[in-house]
Amino acid sequence: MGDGALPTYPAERDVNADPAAGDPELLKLHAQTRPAGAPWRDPFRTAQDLYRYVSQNMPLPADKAGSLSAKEYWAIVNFMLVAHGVQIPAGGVTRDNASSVRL
Amino acid sequence: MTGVLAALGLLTPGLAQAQSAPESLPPASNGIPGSPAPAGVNLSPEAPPTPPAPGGRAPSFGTSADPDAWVFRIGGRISGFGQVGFGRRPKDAPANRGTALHTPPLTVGRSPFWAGPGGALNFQYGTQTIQAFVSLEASLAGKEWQGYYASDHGPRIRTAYVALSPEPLGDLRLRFQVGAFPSNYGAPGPWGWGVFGPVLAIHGYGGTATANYDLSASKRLFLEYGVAAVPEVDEAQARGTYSDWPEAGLSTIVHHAHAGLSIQNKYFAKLHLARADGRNMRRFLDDDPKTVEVEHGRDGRMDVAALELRWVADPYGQLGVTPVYWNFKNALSVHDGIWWGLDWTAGGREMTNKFLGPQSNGTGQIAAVSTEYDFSLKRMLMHPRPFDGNGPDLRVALAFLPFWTLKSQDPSYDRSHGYYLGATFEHVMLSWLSASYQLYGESREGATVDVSGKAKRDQWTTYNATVGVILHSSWQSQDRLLLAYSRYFYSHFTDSNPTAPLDRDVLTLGGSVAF
Repeated sequence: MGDGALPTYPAERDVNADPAAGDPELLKLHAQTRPAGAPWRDPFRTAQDLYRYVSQNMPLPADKAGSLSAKEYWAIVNFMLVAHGVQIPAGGVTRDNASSVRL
Repeated sequence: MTGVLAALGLLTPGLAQAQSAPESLPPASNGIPGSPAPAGVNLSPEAPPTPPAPGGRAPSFGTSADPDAWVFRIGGRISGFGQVGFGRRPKDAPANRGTALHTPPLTVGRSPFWAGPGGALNFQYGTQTIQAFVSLEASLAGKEWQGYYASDHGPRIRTAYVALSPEPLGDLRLRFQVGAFPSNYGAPGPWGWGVFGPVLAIHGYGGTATANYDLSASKRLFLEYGVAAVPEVDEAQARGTYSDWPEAGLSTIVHHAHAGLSIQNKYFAKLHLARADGRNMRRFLDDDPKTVEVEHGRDGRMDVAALELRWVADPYGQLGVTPVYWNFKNALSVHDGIWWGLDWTAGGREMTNKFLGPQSNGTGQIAAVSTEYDFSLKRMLMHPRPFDGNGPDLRVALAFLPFWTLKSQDPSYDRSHGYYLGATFEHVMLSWLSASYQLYGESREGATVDVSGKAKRDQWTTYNATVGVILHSSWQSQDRLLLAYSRYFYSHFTDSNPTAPLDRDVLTLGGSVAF
């Protein structure tokens, strides 16, 4: 799993598809509430980042997100990493070593 | 478990090819986290996390939705800012005269705040394929605020349009928009606005056609063409001009085209071209007190060319640079199709008044370079760990906008130059408390005639520095109460009338809520 495997930066937001385009005050409020330049989802740098994302947003639909057990989520993360050729520790990625497994 | 893996496959193209998703699963929604596609009827992918609307009328950001479902959403803003300026004693004032309080303040130059009460209600209804938008705006500041910002238009609907986003044709995504709406282009800052706004903002009745084509996994081509028209109110119309948008005897058609390339969604280069043709149908003198100098029967033109360059340099923020060039011919006859350029324009009128000079007849050329750098200090310091704004931070926006009047028929403005600069710092200290520091400056060569009738040319300069306290309900909430003190500084040429000195101390109390 390397660069580009998952979309760190989404396609550029179409500012003119937002009804707020004609409301500078509202656009200013939007800008004041989020660090500039920050992608809307932080990049996956370690297996821990991937676990955090998957466990909070999967599976679909959204009302099912987070419905699996931690053991199942770790199994999914391990599967994804192995499928993408990431070198993982013997015994697999766990809560204890996930932060040290760089993607 | 199979369903989970299939859902994950939606996020991983390579895996998705190896694993075939069962047909019973719903298709990927553009609104789900992780989707590379722009959101449809939903908030922007960059939108901060917000709770659902009260009563469950609208889902919170990130909630996946059936792409064919018809969804009704309401958003908007309510805000109100009051300002009072502390007057200074005129030179010839009697000794027993005290300090006057002014509202609006007797100041010149850019105000750090949008003045007066106002609000906007944004209604959306549709599916991810077709959507309808209507915005009801109200700026309730009276005519006394005129000249600060568009102040006296009252409640109005400026935005009402239907947008069609058909299913992608391979790597090609199309979008069509028809109705009355504003469009912003060339802003170097975030959210299409930033500190000094876009260099090309268009509004009117018309449409746009937009195409995004993925040249490769990391390169995307952007093309857009649009037409916007601001029709006239005939000057024989007994009831006169009914809002600030159309103007008696002047109608304008704007053609605009845009082409751009993005790489990795981090590097953006876009070329923006626009031409506004103004049709002057005036027959009488003094049709409109704002533009009495318009010559009868003379059409006008305003051309704009801008190159927008932006770099999303996470974690170091976003840097944008937009060089822009304007060419004007009888621009006083070009009304409000291009409503924002180098500051608020009202078409060619304010560009003429502010930058070409009153004796120019609206003919000349202007160039500018709009630059802005925005960053979060905490995001830099936390790197490579993530930081999404939920915590103490120092958020900074720095903007510099030099401009040059390359050519003008007004000798006092010909080959003159000036600049705008802005710096805003928001120190987010607690989840409910921030400190705000703002600095704005504006300087240009100006000319006036003194009491003896002698022409005088000098530097017109004004700066203001503001410190404020902001209260908000959470780290990333879009609500705020603000109390701020501003100190204004003027050059002698700017504050040149000792019998009517400008205010230097201004107090602002206000608040905004977005929902």
